[in-house]
Amino acid sequence: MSQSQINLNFINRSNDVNNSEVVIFQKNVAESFDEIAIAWRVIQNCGRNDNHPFVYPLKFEVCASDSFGNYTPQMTAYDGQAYEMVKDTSGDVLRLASTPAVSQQEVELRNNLSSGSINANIYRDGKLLAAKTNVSPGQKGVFQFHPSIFVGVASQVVEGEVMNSAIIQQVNTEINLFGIQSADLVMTGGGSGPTASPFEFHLENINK
Amino acid sequence: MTDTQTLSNSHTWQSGDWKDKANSQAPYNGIQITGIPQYNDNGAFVSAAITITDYTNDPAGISSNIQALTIAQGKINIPAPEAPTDSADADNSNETTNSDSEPNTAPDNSDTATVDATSEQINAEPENNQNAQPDPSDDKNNDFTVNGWLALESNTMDLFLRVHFMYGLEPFQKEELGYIMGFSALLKSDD
Repeated sequence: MSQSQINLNFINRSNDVNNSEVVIFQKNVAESFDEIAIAWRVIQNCGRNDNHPFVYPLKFEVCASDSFGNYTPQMTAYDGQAYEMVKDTSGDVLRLASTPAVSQQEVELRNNLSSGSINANIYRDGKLLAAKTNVSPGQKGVFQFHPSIFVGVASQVVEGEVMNSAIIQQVNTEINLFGIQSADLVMTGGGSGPTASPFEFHLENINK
Repeated sequence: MTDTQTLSNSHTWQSGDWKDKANSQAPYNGIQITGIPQYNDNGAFVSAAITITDYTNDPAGISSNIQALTIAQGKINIPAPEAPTDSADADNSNETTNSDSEPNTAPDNSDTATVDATSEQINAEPENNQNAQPDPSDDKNNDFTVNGWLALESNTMDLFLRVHFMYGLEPFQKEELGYIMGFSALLKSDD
């Protein structure tokens, strides 16, 4: 049976005294968006020794919004699939394209409207993961993600919103999830005074 | 003659900051790791040849090689390659670390190697089995920024390459950890 999701469990074993927020995000490697990433998850108010379980589904959801402010429903997407925004008798709709994505590792969202740009959004576990704005007719948004997450402590980060490059630059830990079915993601470090140390992350209780 | 088959089915992983088009100045790019599984005549996994290439300070990359990584070795510190010399042996600037005693070739009793790699060592606990790496040398290539370890771990079906290392330029050093690629415990034959 193929794996459908990775079960992760964030555990705060740090000495944090600032009620820090933990941000988790992925980078869309199909685009050279280097400095742009969206806060996929922000874990808040997770006190010392608290835990926060969450899932990392291997599937995505995609949705598009058109220039009239209409949003399509979120539709399930897998690597290698392509969706297209077209105008039918009801208006602008998003549907599975007849031709797959160019790469089996990518998800495409094509703007096949005759006029008007769209915004292409991709979600994981129902939460916004990446977006490409102003996709012109005939163009497409391409999404590809390595099986890894970036995790770090940040402030003033809002889930589902673009993070600025300064925040992205300070999140420098990449957790690679290849082959993992479940694991604890443990945060240590932090604290105040001379014994304070940088926050660190590691995996425990790994099931492959 | 060798008992070990080296297949061309290599796996390549790139760090999260990898760019298809390298930067024009340092850091030129991220890290690339290539793993090539090696199987014995019975099609059982024996070891993996691992190459870690750091593009931080050199657009052409600086490579560190581990010729035969096995589960039994546990965590292995990533060896820093030797500093380049002016000698004609420029080719040898990359350090190659052999496994305990086995070079690329598997022993004649390949069945034994099979058992070792696929079942007996499955429970090997890398955390408790840290192997010291070759003596630190003054001749290390300082442009090689990778500092950490890697290990092979197994479940009943596959083997996974686990890493934990830091790399890059201060103050923006990056950290990579977790599992980056997998190898089949048994060679899948087309026959």
